[in-house]
Amino acid sequence: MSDHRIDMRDISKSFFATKALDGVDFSCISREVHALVGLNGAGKSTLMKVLGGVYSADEGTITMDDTIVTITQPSDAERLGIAMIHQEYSLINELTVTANIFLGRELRHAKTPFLNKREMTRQVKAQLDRFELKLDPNLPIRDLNSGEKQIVEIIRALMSDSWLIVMDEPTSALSEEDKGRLFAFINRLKSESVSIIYISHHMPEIFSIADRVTVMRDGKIVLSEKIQDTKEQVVIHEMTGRELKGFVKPHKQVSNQILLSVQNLHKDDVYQDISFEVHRGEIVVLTGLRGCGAPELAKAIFGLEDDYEGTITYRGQTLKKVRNPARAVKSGMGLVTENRDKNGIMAALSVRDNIVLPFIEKSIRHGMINSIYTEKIVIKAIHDTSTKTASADQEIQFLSGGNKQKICFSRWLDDDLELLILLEPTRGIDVHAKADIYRIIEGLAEKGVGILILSYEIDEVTMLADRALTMYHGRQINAYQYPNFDKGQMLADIAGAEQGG
Amino acid sequence: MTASTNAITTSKPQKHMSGLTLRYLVLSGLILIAAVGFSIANDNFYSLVNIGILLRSISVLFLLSMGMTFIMLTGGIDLSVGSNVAFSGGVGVITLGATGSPLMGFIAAGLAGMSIGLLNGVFIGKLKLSAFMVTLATFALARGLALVIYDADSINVTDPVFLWLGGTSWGNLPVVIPFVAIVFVVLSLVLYRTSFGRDVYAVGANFNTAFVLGRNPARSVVWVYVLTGLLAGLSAIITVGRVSSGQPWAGLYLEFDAITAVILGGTSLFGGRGRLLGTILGVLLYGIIINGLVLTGTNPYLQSLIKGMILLGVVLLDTYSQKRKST
Amino acid sequence: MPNKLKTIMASMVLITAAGTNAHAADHNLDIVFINDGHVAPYHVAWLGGFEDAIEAYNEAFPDMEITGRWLSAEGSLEKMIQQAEVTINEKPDVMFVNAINVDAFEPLVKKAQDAGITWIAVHSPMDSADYSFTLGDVVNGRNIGMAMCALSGGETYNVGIMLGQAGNPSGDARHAGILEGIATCNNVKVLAEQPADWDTVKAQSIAENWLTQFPDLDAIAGVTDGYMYPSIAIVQNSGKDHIEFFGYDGDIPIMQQMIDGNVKADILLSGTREGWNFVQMAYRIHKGETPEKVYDFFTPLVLTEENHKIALANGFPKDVEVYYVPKAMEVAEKGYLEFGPDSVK
Repeated sequence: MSDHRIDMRDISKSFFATKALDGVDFSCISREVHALVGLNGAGKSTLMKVLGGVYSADEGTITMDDTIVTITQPSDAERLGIAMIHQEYSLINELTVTANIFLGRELRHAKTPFLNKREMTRQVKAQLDRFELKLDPNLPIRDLNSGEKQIVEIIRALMSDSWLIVMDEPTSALSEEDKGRLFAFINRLKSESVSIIYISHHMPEIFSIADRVTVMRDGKIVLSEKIQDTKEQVVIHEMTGRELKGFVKPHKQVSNQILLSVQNLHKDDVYQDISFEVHRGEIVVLTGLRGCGAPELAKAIFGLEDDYEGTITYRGQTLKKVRNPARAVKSGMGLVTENRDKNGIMAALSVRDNIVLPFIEKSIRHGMINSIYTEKIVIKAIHDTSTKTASADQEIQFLSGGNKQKICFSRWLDDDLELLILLEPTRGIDVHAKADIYRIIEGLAEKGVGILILSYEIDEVTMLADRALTMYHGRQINAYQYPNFDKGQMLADIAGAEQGG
Repeated sequence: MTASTNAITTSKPQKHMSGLTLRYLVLSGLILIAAVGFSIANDNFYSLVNIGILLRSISVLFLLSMGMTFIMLTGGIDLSVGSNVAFSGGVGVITLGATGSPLMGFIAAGLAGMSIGLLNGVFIGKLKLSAFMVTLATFALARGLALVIYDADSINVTDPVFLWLGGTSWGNLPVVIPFVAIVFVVLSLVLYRTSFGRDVYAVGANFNTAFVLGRNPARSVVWVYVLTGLLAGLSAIITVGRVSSGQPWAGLYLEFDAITAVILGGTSLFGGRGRLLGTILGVLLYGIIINGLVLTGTNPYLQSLIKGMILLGVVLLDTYSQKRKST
Repeated sequence: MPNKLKTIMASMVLITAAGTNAHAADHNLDIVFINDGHVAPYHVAWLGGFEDAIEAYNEAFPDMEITGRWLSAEGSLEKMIQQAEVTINEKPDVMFVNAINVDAFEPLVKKAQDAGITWIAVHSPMDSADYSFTLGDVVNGRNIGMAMCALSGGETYNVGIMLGQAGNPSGDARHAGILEGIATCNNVKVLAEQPADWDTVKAQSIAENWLTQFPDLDAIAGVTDGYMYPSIAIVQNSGKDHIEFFGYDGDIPIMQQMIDGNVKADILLSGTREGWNFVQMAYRIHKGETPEKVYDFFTPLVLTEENHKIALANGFPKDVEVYYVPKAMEVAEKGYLEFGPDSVK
């Protein structure tokens, strides 16, 4: 395969008022592993989607080997040899490795409609041998593990003449052993004139396989260096730096009454030996990378999971291990899930019905719902969260993400609330809604509600937390007390960086 | 903030979404058009006797469709209701024969209907099997049970109390009509004024969310099927009264009529959206069309064609309005 | 919305057109025939005969106007009751009702009679009805069974019988008759019996199963000729040409198979004939005649002349009325030969 280079120059892309990419220059050449890093929302995915033809840039040019190319749809990118390996595999489970690799461009016996399976298998085998991969081309995909699936995707890309492969967080679902195999494979690929764009948060990975690292922040490139010319701390420092205007954490006294206590919580391969406490009126934030085990931890507390070891003590009582969120709700817990559409809202129902559901038993008078009571709750909930909706009868699906999220909050705002668990409370919502949500959270804490938050955004952690716990791969790394937050150290903790800890 | 508070206070009287209101207006209009059309074709259409016949003929469909509305609000479907009418009728009639007590017969019919419903509900709600598959199985199972307990033959019923509900008329008004109206009121209270009703909507809109919010969606699903089973039992009692006998082939294809009427009434196939009022209008329209087709002596081949077209039109309408909403 | 409106408007136009058609003028004799279905070949011939006969009688007797229509309950008891209720309200002169279950219609018979309507119960007799139009199913079935005995050649003869829908009186009577007939000899063995619910598709899969399950099957009998079409096709495709058939209904294509195929015996009902007989009967009642309260439709056994001789030689009773194939086919096709206007002039 011959060598290529691709250059993206001065790329800008806006979504409504938000500038997702702002004059970005990015390039990649054969025989290079180029790591692309940045916090959530920094613009990495948008940039790659422009490269892959999912989005078209508003401004800027892309050149390949010094010729200007237009990429307006995914097939354009494919033709230029650019392949995207997704976290959600686009493989068909029931088909074999070979069949997946040749899907849509099967080889046939000359002048017949019949597939030439032998030749296809031979070609796949040749590729696998070239990279010294031990994989049976006749196995169905469902029998492969995550790492092997990724390898199949990459082989498929190579066999359709791709030279540039974009991998988005490829190791998030891989075991250590598979990681090793994948990295060995990536190193082999380099020698075959392939180029890899490697999106990741994990500093050790980046510094072990990348040749070059580019850091994005707020839609701009803030650092692009050869790997030997930079350090983990520099990269981490460049990633951070955003401040949210319009919200200042109020000073307050946290009570010394323990509301929730987690002792030696353990779940195989998810989290290990976690212990912490949440006081009444305290905001505790768990942070880490995706896959750090914090959401599962929160779900165990709320009674959505029961397969853990260790003890959870709430209001002085040890919780039985049962899958029963109804118990949690009855005992004054509330949960705002990380995936609004999956288990946060009820899309077809009105704002009103979305709000009142957890309160419904309390509104029953003589076996019937007391609509005066529920109406009070609805008005108060919408008012307290300053949710913008045409009316309470509006179907919630027509609200913006931020307003949907406020409704997910508002349904717990009730005098009986004692512990509120929030998973990524500001995921995918705009800055204004964010500030509103922070105010609600602080307001609740002031009233004595204990708050446990999972956040992947370091700025959010430092802005909200009375106490922050960093996690890496299911392990608890450090605890930080307000106001002594060292962002650099925290980022290093969650990226598994070697120094500190 | 002010805007939202204002919106709340002004919106209070108009409690439900405009999409459905529009649907009800369209349905009412269609009912009117159909009624006018048929009365032009046959002046007998407007006779009180015919209206009595019409209402009585769709009384069972009213009950089953209301149950089907609850089920479809949860995102489910029940193909077994028609067979259940035959089965629970059989149990009721046989119990009546054995004990001589119509009360025992009524109770037995209701319990039999509920037990098929419970079977559906446990498989669908607790074991999370597909409603279509489960009720397709109980559709055959309940019919088979009916044939077995009846020994495939009908059983004559003469007990006047047992026959009263389905067979008696006050003048031209069959007593079953006020009965259906009472059931409608009760079910409306259940659906709109109890926590169970809220759960029905919540389960259909998002089972996971309902669970996370501390509700018990699996239990709600079970109860919805049990309720529909009970309505099948009531339908069985009405059917027996209408024909003075227990019939192993009673209720054949009624599930399809019920599903048609519910969809016609604007209840979404995907759960969470719909009202009982729509179902009532749907049954009325469906009933008027069937009655009118018979009354005008329309060629039966053409009748099937028209019914098919109505159903297709409704499905189109549903998809069309869904699409418009999502864009 | 527009889609929906268009559909409904189209339906309305169709309905109105059809409706005005049926109620075009005043009449002297209005006949309504409510049937249990309308898709089986027998039903189609039956309803066709009924319509043709009305036309022929109107032509032959210009002094009176006969109107008639038929309805199909599509197998649903509830629909049939609704149709009957609506029809009674319309007060026709004569109603033929092929009840899915007679018990269910007792209350309606009385209502109809109160309204001055003559109720004729079709196939399953009802005491309360003014008349019952019956088929002699047990006798016919027995004739088929005896023909099977007489034509089986004396060796062990294995037969599979396809039944009607469970609980259907006609099907049960035919079945009972066939078994009675078979019982008159020792060599005919019933290998299998299965209800096919008057459904040709079910009959097809049953025939397929039997062919694989019973390699020594000699004959397939059915309570309707509807079962014969798929069975004959499957047997021919499988190459098991020795398998013989015993039908019931007198469908012309099945009787045709007696000449050049393996169909051995049939019962001449013929839907066409029955439709004509309905109109003749209604006319006679209208003219003041009183047929027998239980009116037996004349349904002879159909054999080839050659087979009849063989059967007689093997002890088949001489007094059983037999039509030979050519005549049976002609009568089946031309209902007016027996029941046309000439028969009542």
